[in-house]
Amino acid sequence: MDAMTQKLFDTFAKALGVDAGRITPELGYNTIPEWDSVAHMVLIAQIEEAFDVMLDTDEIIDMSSPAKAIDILKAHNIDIS
Amino acid sequence: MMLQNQTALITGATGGIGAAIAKAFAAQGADLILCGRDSDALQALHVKIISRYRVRTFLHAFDLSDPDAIKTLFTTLHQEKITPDILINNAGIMDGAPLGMTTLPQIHNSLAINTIAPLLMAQYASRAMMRAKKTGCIINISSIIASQGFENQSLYASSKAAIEGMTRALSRELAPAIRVNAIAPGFIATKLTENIDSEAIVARTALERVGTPEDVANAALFLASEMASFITGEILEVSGGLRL
Repeated sequence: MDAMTQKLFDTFAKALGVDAGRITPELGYNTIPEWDSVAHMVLIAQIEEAFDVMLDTDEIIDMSSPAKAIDILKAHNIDIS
Repeated sequence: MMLQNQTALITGATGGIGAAIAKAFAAQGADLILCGRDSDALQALHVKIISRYRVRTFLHAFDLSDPDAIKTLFTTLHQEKITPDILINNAGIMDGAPLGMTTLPQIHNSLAINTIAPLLMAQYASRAMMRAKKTGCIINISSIIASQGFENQSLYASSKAAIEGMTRALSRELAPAIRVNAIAPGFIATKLTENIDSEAIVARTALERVGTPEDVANAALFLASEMASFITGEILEVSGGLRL
């Protein structure tokens, strides 16, 4: 896992208040109690802060997993794989 | 100072109520993000404020009916590392007409400026506040017409009633970090109301006068301050007891 992906996963863990080990690329929005709509907006805020980006509403809705988040960050020219 | 180290974003900043809020907030130490359509008027307001108060101002001229322009504002603020602590959704239009003579373009334009823009502004501002891990405050300027109605103002009343619903909903959704309240002015002497018969209005006002922009600014100052730290989801009427 590259450093940026690790940073993203750490951001997910911190924002959702879960152990880092529970964050996998396939983890889905609303599949765990900790990732509800309220937590999603906290997550978005922390990803924007961590990667210095401003996401569109469509991207916020589309960010349904860490894997999706990677794709979205790539579209913002973040060097992440 | 009540708003030291706070940054307030005010839409419709060059209008009567907007300018009064800007001056009242600057007097209490708030830095200002002043938004309006007329860049010359924004510049004139900026000069007035910085000549009197030691605050920073950021000016942004744009058309609130354009959602892309709202996004551009917040992208620019993000790039400039400016985060609003307070959002005042003040800009609005009153396009009065009998129901049968209200056109679809009028409906779209009023809702775009009075309803959709404040919702988008709240969306972007709340995310910016959360991104900065800040607490915050949103104040929406509604109108007494939202709750009481007035002839030839069905469109304006609809757009402002929507703002009040939005205020109550967001006060729940954005709590506890962000407080959301609204002010419902009565008859305030501004350009927006210059064509309305003020004498008839005063006759229906318990305090027997028309309101001033400063009356509304004082209410906004209270709601933005720590004095209102336990108040959210409220619609504060500033009307002198007007019953339409």
